[in-house]
Amino acid sequence: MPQKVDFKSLRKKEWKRSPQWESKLIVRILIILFAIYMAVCFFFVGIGGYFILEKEFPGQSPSRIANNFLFYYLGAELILRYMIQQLPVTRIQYFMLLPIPRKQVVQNVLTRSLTSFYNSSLLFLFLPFAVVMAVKEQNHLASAAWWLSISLLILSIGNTVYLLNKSRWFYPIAVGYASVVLLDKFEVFSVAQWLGQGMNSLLGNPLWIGIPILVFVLSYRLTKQHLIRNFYLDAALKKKREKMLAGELKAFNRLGLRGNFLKNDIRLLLRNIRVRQILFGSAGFLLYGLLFFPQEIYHESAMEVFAALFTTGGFVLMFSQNIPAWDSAYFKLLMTQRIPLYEYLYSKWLLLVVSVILASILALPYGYFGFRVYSLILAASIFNAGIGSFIGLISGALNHSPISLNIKAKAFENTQNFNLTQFLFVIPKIAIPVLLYSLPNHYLGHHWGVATLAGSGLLGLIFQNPLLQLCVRFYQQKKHEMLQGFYKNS
Amino acid sequence: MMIHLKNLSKKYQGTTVLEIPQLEIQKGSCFGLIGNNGAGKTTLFSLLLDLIQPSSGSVTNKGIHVAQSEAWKNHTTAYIDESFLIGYLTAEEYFDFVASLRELSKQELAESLEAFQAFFNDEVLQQKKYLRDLSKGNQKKVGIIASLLGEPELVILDEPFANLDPSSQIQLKRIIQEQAQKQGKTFLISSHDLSHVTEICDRIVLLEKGCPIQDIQTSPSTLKELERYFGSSLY
Repeated sequence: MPQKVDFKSLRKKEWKRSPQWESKLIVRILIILFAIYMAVCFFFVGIGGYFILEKEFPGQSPSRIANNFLFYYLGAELILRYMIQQLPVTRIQYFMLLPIPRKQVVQNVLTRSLTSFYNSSLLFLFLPFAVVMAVKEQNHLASAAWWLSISLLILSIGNTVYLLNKSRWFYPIAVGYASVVLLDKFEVFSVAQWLGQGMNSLLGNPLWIGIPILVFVLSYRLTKQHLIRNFYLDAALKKKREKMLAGELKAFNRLGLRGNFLKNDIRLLLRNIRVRQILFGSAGFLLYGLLFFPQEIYHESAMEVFAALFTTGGFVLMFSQNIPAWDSAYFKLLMTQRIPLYEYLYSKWLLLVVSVILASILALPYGYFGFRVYSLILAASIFNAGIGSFIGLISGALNHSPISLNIKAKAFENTQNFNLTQFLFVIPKIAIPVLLYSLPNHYLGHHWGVATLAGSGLLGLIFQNPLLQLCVRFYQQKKHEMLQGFYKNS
Repeated sequence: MMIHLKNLSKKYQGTTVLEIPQLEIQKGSCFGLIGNNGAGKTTLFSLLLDLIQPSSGSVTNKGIHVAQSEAWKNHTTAYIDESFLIGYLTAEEYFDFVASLRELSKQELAESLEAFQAFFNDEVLQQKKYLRDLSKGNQKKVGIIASLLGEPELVILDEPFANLDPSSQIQLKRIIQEQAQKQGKTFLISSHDLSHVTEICDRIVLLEKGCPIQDIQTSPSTLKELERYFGSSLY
């Protein structure tokens, strides 16, 4: 057997030939800028974090406070990574039949995941924090040990994600974690403090770093063994047998063809990872208002309209920009069938409107912040349903990138679906409603702002039919461009 | 007449991938299209279905200009590849959807599917599996049968025999022959399998680098002739 395989050059080719490098230069630059922006944000949180803790908890050592938070950070990271991190295990497949020792392939997978995007926090967030700590507390060795320990723990989390992938242990562990957090909250027993004290001792005596090293080595070995043991097509690589979701949906049969399209869309939403992520995302957007409404400084500002729009419009924004790309995998079928485009688009539009209605009901608790806030949310939701939905349909028609439905969207790797047009469409999607509220609000007062925003949405709903006809014509014109884009690689 | 092609060509960045001065396909015939990879078979089918736009010329389907009207969709169906399947549906749900588009009642759909039970070999219906999780062969069966639903007059199938097991290939040949002879459907079939094509098609056109170079009325000697043609480049 050959001993050395040049994984590195393969990886380089994979990176260079990946879709994001083939996309336009400007998109590439935007992605790089965004990555730098994120890194800089992390960096400042890392540096500033020390001073913030110092200010918020006077008289206490910021490093010790940070240590007490560590448990929560690690837990959140584990859950988040389990949910969204795509493991490169499928890449093992290519090497299965080649004369390369399994150990080498697995080792390579694990080494490369050390440099994963998800580990960047230890460089950009924790390293600056540790440097500030070293300077302020004049304990260089201890700070270095502290940073190394946290890095090792984060890397161990990365390994654990491999172990948990496709195992039945994730939910028990998540429940266990939640109960530990609750025990902590009710001050019964605090694992967080226990871990914090451990880290504190490490600051006193750097030799304690032995324990994180042990944890990392253990997790690394376990993961390696686990991967070697599952080096078979039917093990780690095989997809889980899915439960059938959204079965008969008989209620929709009465709606005729429209109902059939809606049935498919509901199945699309529930049965594909990529689309389910949007559902979770919309739930997240529902909480968006909490960032703004409680704060006085945003009172009747553009930011409030912004928040109101996102609260009920998350689904519209995320789903509509990929209509009809959601159907890209079988677009040839749709285009060769007797499909009335009007019915097709009507059902998509209805889905958007229903999502807005559901979100406005779920947003009722915002009434806690007063009628003023909820009326703004309601006005924004009418805008989302009446105008936002149509802008979305039009922006979607310009999006000709195919979507792999059953593959999770990855951070920075999902750029196939990023295009400049979509990016530019954010302007009418956000700026128009903000202006519709802000101008009348400025000159005439809040009520007028709300009325204008809601009124424009109502107009959209009243003229739903001609607007949809307009979309139909637009979609008809774009048919061949869509097909060409969706099947570029086949 | 079912299909009429006139001066049809498709070019990609100056390279001509298809060039057909004139071709007519009669109603009720089983028309075979053969040629090596890159000969332009799939391109031709995509042009017939208005999935791509021709660089020049036109396609008429039963007198309907396919790029100008969508009325041809009323009597034409096709199965080209997996992009005609909705991966997250089960076979039943998919058939339901297609049946609704072709205005078949539940009853009619059930009757149509009943006739293909043997072809499905208990591996397609009631599997509680999404189409994306079926094997390639079973996916193909679903796609082909869906294209036969609702009494289409013209059925376009790209490589229908590929990925099917031997029994299914033989059954499929029978199904196509029966549908063509008894029900008068017109079939356009491309295949790499010369013996299947010569067996079921009454007319075969051989494409090479985008041009039709032979137009054969099938006879007992056709298979030999074709084998001679495809083998000649080897010697």
